[in-house]
Amino acid sequence: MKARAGWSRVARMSGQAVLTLASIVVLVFLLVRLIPGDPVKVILGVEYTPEKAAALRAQLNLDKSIPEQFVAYIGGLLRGDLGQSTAQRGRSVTDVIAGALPTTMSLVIAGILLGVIVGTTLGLLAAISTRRGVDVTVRTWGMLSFSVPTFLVALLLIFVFALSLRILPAGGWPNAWPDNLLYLILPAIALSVHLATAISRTVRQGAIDTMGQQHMEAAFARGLPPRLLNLRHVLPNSVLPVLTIVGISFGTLLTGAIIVEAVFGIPGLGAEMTRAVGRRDYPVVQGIALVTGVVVVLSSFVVESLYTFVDPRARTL
Amino acid sequence: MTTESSVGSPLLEVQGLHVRLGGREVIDDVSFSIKRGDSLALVGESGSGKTVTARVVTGLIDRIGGVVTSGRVVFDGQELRQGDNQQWAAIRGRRMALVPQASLSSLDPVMRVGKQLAETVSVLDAGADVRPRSLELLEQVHMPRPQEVLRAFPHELSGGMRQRVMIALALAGRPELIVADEPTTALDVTVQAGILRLLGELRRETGMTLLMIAHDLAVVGLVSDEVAVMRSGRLLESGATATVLSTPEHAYTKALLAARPEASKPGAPLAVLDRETGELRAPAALPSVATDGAVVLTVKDATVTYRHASSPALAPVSLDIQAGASIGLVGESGSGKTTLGRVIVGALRPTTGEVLVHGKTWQEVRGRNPIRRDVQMIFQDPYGSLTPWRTPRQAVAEVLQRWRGLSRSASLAQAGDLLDEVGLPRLTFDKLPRQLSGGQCQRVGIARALASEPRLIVADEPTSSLDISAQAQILNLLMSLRASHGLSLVLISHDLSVIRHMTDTALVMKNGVVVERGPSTKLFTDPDDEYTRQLVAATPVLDSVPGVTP
Repeated sequence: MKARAGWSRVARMSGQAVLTLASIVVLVFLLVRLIPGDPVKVILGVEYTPEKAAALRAQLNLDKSIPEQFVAYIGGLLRGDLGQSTAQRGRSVTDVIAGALPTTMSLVIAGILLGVIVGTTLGLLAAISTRRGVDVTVRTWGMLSFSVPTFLVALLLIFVFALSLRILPAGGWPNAWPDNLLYLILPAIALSVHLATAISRTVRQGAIDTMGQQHMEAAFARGLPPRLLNLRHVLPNSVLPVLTIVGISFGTLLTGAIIVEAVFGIPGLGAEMTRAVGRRDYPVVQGIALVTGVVVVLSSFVVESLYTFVDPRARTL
Repeated sequence: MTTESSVGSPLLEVQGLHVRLGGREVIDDVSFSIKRGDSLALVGESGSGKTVTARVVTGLIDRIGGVVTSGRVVFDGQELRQGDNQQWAAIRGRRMALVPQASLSSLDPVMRVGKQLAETVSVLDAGADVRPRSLELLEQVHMPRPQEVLRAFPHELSGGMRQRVMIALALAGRPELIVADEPTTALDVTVQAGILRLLGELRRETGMTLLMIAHDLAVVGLVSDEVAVMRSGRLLESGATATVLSTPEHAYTKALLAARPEASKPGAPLAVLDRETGELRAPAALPSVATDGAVVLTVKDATVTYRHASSPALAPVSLDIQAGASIGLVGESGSGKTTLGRVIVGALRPTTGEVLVHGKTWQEVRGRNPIRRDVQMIFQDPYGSLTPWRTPRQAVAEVLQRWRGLSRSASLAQAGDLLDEVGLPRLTFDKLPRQLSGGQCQRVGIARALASEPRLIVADEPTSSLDISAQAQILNLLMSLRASHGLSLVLISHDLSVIRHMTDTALVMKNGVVVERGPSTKLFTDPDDEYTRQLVAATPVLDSVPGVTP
């Protein structure tokens, strides 16, 4: 019965996720139509001739009524067709995104893993250490790293590890696994710094709260050794909020990835995005906005569902 | 496990204990001892130092920053040192175990009960077969369906079952001494009776020694051979439980006993200890105003079903409340007594049926309609029901300003008169709630309810979070106000003694259904319903409270 309650919660959340996705699709569709001015004129620029304009208009479906355009757009989406790039002739939007998405996702996921591992460890250490210095160090580090912008962190990393120590590449991206793992290290660190700080603060507070609870004292009074208390009771109780943070941060991390990609010269979604915006490549902008939205909605859905299975109390809510 | 030579000598001896905590001396020269196999209960009200003493005995005092300044604790001939991890590693759980207060948070909420038991068994009872031993422990505490309990998470168990798990965990290391810190405080009476019976049984079966902390003398009488009464960090009186309860020597012990509702005739003022003179006396009964007996409020076939709930929280109930009447709603948690109380004051709209005040339902009485003044409520949590940054005077004046159309300054002055009437010390009128005691906060809540000149007051467990002496004072106050103002009172309580003392008629509720209703005295002496009988039997009372003449 309890398990069924958990599944019905997941079902309810997937309903919400589908609704959110639908509104993202509508918003992204309206995005291009609502931008003032004629996109065709902007795209063609000096090459503008009425014939070329008419042809492009037909290619972009802009010669039809808005409802017809919407139907065509949805039809395209269902077939996985996001249109043609106007700047990179001959490439479909799907193609552009498919080329860049894996790079960005590997950067974001590496950043999350690093942030979670480093953040949780530091937070737990700060909370359980009996030496005051550990706590103070972790908190000072957190404050410092929180106040330094991501691009500066990236530049500092390049300066120390690439230019001074010469142990890691300063940037670039060999398009081959596993060579690119080496090129992922510094960008992932740069991306994870803020996340790690947020997580370490939450874990530290969570651990301190947990340690003050009656069940911890009861377990202590039963004679359970401190190591077991920390690993089996403090840790599971204080990492629950980490899931929420990761879920909330996913969107921010994708945005952060754009900057990190720019600094390290990584050909990811961010690089495609900036290029597309600069060249007024509306179909690509539209496609990337859609994919980013979908990824964020899906990730927070996954996180919320995970919650249901990690925290037994969430199943009955 | 037990060294034969030590039989007969004290297992636990506390000598001249002094403890400082938060800059104050909270334990002042406390000494007692327990022989192996015996039981001792430390009894006192909040702030008496009973829990601090238990923390010293279990080596937990340094965790809350307390320091033993002098005196010693000797366990089986060995002096216990706070913070000596090596020494405690051999004692904690293995030779001495703690059963904490019953609450949801005494088990790890994200770990299955079976895993928590297994982990404790494998640490304390190395070499034991974990699963059979876990089941054996659960059977030892008479846990129904132990296999299922092992797979359950703590929040899926009832309060009584969780407390049985805590006792099973305490037994895992086969300890010689069990320290139980208010093991039944938050539990329903019938559940409490079961837990107390279990503790007594375990003591007989295993020969373990028990140090119990309690605030209720009647509970102590059920489990412990000896009792020690504490107040303000001092041990006032100790001896055999029967002797102390029947012929108390210290004035404070007498006061504790006399303050119990069953010590006085129903409706008579309860005896209260005068702090200055140390005398025990009951206030004279106030002259009462005549009431016309007209109906103030009618509940007609009201039911409540909460959203997503499979069964109603309140089955159809009808009730006429006459002027000057005093009605008790009694039952255990989940019985629907608070739901009915909230329906009466209009805080909750009945799903079907209606509540009529002056011929109108609560839905028709909105905003500034003066009918709203007629029914007021007093809440269970004295601190939580006051705005933290408002002084008692401001809290009461707000109501006066709204209903009596007084100016700000006039209402502040009149608030003072009301606070005087409920017996709040003048010094506290302009303090903040957190600077007041629980009893004082409850007085403010009563003054605030009176400020609108109501005809009916619904009091939801007004004394359940108060000490017994504060309870006696608040009950006295409610009785005298009822008499002098001609108020009707609906009193919600889990405590049968309080209901019997305070009300003329009572409704006994269980799972949202009124199982029995009638004159209060009859319900508690000659109940018709089986459940009422169980409740009466489970309620701990002192059979012969030493006589106090009002």
